[in-house]
Amino acid sequence: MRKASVFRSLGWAVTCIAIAIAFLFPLYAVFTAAFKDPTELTTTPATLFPQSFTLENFQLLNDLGDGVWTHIGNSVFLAVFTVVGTAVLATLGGWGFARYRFRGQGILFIAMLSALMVPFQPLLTPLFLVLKSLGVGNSLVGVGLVYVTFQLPFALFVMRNAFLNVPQALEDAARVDGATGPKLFMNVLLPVVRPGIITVALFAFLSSWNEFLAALILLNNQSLFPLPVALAAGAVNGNNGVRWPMLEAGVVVTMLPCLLLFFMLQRYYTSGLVAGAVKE
Amino acid sequence: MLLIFFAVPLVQMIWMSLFDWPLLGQQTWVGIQNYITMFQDSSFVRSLAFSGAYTLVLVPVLLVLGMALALLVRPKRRGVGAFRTIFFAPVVIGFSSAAYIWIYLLNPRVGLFDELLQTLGLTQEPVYWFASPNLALLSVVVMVVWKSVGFGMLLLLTGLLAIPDELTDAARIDRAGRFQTFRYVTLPLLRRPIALTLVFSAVGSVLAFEQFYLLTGGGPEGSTTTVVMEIFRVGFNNFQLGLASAMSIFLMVILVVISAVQLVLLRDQSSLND
Repeated sequence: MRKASVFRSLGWAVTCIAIAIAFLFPLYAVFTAAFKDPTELTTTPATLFPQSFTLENFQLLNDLGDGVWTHIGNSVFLAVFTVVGTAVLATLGGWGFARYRFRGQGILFIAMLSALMVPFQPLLTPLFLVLKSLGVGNSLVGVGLVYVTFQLPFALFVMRNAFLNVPQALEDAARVDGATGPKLFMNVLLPVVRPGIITVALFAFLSSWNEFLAALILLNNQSLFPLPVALAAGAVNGNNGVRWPMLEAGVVVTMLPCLLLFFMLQRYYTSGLVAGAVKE
Repeated sequence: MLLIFFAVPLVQMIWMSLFDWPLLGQQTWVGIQNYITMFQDSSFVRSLAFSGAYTLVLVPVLLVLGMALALLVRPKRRGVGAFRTIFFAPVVIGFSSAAYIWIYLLNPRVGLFDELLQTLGLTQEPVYWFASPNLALLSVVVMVVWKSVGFGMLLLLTGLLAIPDELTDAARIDRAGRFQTFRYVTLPLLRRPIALTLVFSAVGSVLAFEQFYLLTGGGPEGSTTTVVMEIFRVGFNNFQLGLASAMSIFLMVILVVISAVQLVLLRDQSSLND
């Protein structure tokens, strides 16, 4: 009996480790590739264990499009715009939906959730024209507005639940102590719903940082491209074929913030997914 | 805001789909002509068929593998958290990054994958993964499984962890075997996460863009062009915005149907619970 369970544990561990190696292998390949020197990187056969270590590939990124810092800047701008916009609107809106009853509230909330079901990709053609007529066509602000809009339904949903979980007694107690309006909101409620805000911000960051199609369609100037689009234009589909050293370094720069944030804030990601999936 | 960026574009898109609408120049009313043209357009029909086939291949694979992984990382054993994290990590890096990684990995000249296969003695020569339609599709499916299977795993795992141990224990006491317990106790309780996993992966596959745009470029010879790629080729390379709108509406109808199926599935379940 005992022996069987030892074997079973061992079998389980071996299976998990084998799958884990398969999952980590692509990441291992790209991280090592980014630090190989360009000659080693482009020589056949590829080396499983790197023979060289250099930062040269990252310097090559300066030749990407308008220079890598421009594109990192664009990506950061979009991410900050999306995160701040989504967090502020969802927090205020979530509070409204949770605390105040108004006519048509149910319908409005359902209408919003149904927008969750329709992704934005099919809407890009008209959005292109709408942004243009609003004077934010071909601009980062325009793309940011699109990201915020399509992030909002999910974010409002999470924030409404967060506010619904705040005990009414806490709010009443604060009122008795003389806190009102904005003060009540800032000092009493905000700290309590902080996990919800972090969840919303994390999802907004990941979706805007990784978004590709809308940025590709809505932006025409190379100087406005965020990092993933700049890599497609400069390192993959360029005139001289794929520029591997630049691409590998670029991918590492692109995905590192996502992986780091995920490892740090994992439980917020999971709770957001559960909130969206189980209660929706 | 939702009004400006959602309702207005929706109405405008329906409106536009009734016109011959070039990016610059005169718009002309053509009624439902775009909807007719669209189905006579062989590359659109072909892209629809391809996206459909891709979805039908990918969705079951993602569900079965997601379930297998979820069952694997369900037990509370030492180190299980680390495995959950590792299996899920590729989900957060975005489709474009994943595509960039795999272009490199699968490249016959500089990539590690062929080198690994040859070292293991599985193949003798480098394989040109994107040269034939079937291999290209296979490569993308493998890439997407790596990138997305963690998402289904997490949804299903959440469902599995919500099932109280007493239920499965009771089934065991009633002498149900492992498989029977899974089939008659666990699976019915997982209907909701299963439905969600199916819908998320189906919507994701129907909307597939980056994985093909970057990995295969739609080739060889247009054989792996997806609907979304085709719509934006028509809209933003050929500037036939009216036709592209009609195609988008058709795509949207498909997506709404998929979501509606989800609602029906979930409603069935809630009535079972009553």
